[in-house]
Amino acid sequence: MAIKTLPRRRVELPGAADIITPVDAEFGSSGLLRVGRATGGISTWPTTKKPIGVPFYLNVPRTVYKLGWRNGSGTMTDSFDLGVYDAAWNRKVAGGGTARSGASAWQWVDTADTLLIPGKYWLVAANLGVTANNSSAYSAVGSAAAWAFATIFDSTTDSYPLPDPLSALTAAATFLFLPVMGIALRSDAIG
Amino acid sequence: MPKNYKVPEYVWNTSIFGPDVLAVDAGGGALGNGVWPTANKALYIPVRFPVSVTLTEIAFFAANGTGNYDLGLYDDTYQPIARSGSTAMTAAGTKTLAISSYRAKAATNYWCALALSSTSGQVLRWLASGSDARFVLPTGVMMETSALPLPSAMTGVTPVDALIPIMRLQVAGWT
Repeated sequence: MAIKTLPRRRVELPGAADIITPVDAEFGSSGLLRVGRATGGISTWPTTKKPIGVPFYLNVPRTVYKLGWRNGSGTMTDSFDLGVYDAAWNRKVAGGGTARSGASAWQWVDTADTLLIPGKYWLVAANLGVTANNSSAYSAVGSAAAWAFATIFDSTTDSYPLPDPLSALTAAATFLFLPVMGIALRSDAIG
Repeated sequence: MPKNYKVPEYVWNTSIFGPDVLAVDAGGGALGNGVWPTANKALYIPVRFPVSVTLTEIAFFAANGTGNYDLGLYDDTYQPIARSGSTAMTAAGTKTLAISSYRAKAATNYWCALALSSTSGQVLRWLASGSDARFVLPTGVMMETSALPLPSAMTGVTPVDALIPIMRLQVAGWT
């Protein structure tokens, strides 16, 4: 007897990709950031070990398997850490801190496959040092306060490598840019 | 759209739910702080959701503390859902207005409203390429003069300015 295979049904945001960055719909701030896209460039980290976070939202279970960022030009002296936290600042997965390699290029770190159930999360980055250039996707308009309006959060607490849990970030007060960074996701579960 | 649909807690009027400025302005325009075009003018920016949503807050970003503002939200019949009333800007920063868990209907226009008392007042805004107001016309934005405080019923007309103030809505849930 032939076995009839039902089509797999997935429900995702329109345009959901395997790699999501803060310009994708999963990131609420994308609606604001996309109209300021011409303001990016390269930036050094404002203070060593200080974290910056941007919230994102998943509609369906998805599995993180890589985290990545784009290095800026010039020296690659500083190491970088990138992680995903839940809404209560508990770490779901992080890169653990990685020496930069490859100027003006994306750099990806493999992570343990980590299932994220639908909900709110934070993509958080911290840098060891203030020398290396980061590719910045967007720059705040004039002040960190405008960045806070975009729901970008930061903290004055040393957070390198990214700890578990993370001291709660608050509305941006220091950062004036958002690094180019992304999450590689698989849709292993049926929505 | 399925039940239990998780969406961003905050949405901006420049997102897919509001005027698609990048679709009408191939040059992209510019995001930045800028002065209000005319004293006591209100600008009304449409937002529209594919499903029913519960709205709990509206906000804009004041880039300085000059003059007064009135921040509000209107429904599709041009009646106010919430208005802050004329309020001193006092300082730069995010200005918010709580909305009492208003259930917005799906596929229905709502209007984010902002009026400033002074042309020295500055807000975070999108400015069309070349400061050309024709880029704003297809977005559905409307304006009203002598509208501070915001009126008990909005009477919007075709805009003549090249800017759209950036507004943020807090979404508590979708149904």
